[in-house]
Amino acid sequence: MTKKNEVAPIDCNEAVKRFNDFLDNYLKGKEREELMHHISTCQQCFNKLEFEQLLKAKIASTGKNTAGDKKQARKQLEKILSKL
Amino acid sequence: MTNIRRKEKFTEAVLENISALNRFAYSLCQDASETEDLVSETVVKAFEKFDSLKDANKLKQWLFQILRNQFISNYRKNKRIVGLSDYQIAPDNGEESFSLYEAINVAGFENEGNPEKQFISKITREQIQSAIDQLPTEFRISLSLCDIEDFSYAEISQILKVPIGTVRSRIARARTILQKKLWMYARELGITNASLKKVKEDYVCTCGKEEPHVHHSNITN
Repeated sequence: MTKKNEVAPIDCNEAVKRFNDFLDNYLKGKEREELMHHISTCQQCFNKLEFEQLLKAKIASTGKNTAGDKKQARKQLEKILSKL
Repeated sequence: MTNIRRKEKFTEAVLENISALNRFAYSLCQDASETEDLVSETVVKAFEKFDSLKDANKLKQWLFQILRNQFISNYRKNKRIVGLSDYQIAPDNGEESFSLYEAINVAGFENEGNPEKQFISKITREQIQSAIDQLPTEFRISLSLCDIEDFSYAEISQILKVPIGTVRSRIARARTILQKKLWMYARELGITNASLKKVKEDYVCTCGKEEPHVHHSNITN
């Protein structure tokens, strides 16, 4: 049994299960603390989570690069509104 | 307020979200012409209802909800719209967990150093976009709203009108499928034939699956 305020240990399997929620800022409270504690002691999970973060950032930058710039957006918007 | 002034105010508020609306519309339609029409219809609806927007901080979510509703409305009117054939929830095909990180590390790149970071720097935007485009519709949409548009699970749940649990599940499954697709590109980016052979040998598994995969119970601390 863990003492009050002591973070319960979780294994790698459980840590990996929490990665998605962590990446998407959905993991809160005790579950987040347990994951943080685990990756501070497990280099493999730390590296794996870091890779997941890098991949998520690469996906974000890829997607945001695909739909034109602000000048094009203004032109598109003005064209639509000109009909109203 | 005059109509001109109202348009100016609306333009300044909405302008920053037009690119995001284009992306969301394209992820739904997968067709440039339909995307343009859908965004146009969305902007018109948003302009008409702009005064009813209570919280300016929720503008982007509000616009996405209008676009999603318009898309569904168009679909009901015209079922020939491309892209909705698989809009229903795809069956859970029991995708096994797959870690691209582990697959890359087991395979090993030709160059020394940090193979997973080399992969991140070598993989092109075109390859990532191609992998995203191949995802089943509802997975592609949920992942895009999360990773590209930075919406929370709760916001995605409201935009798509599905429970948060469904959003979480779709995103998790999308990432698994995406990583499997990216693994194909990873192999093209510098793993030798010899190491490919090694991958196969390393992945001989009692479950009988030939392609690289990971059973998390095998990960040790």
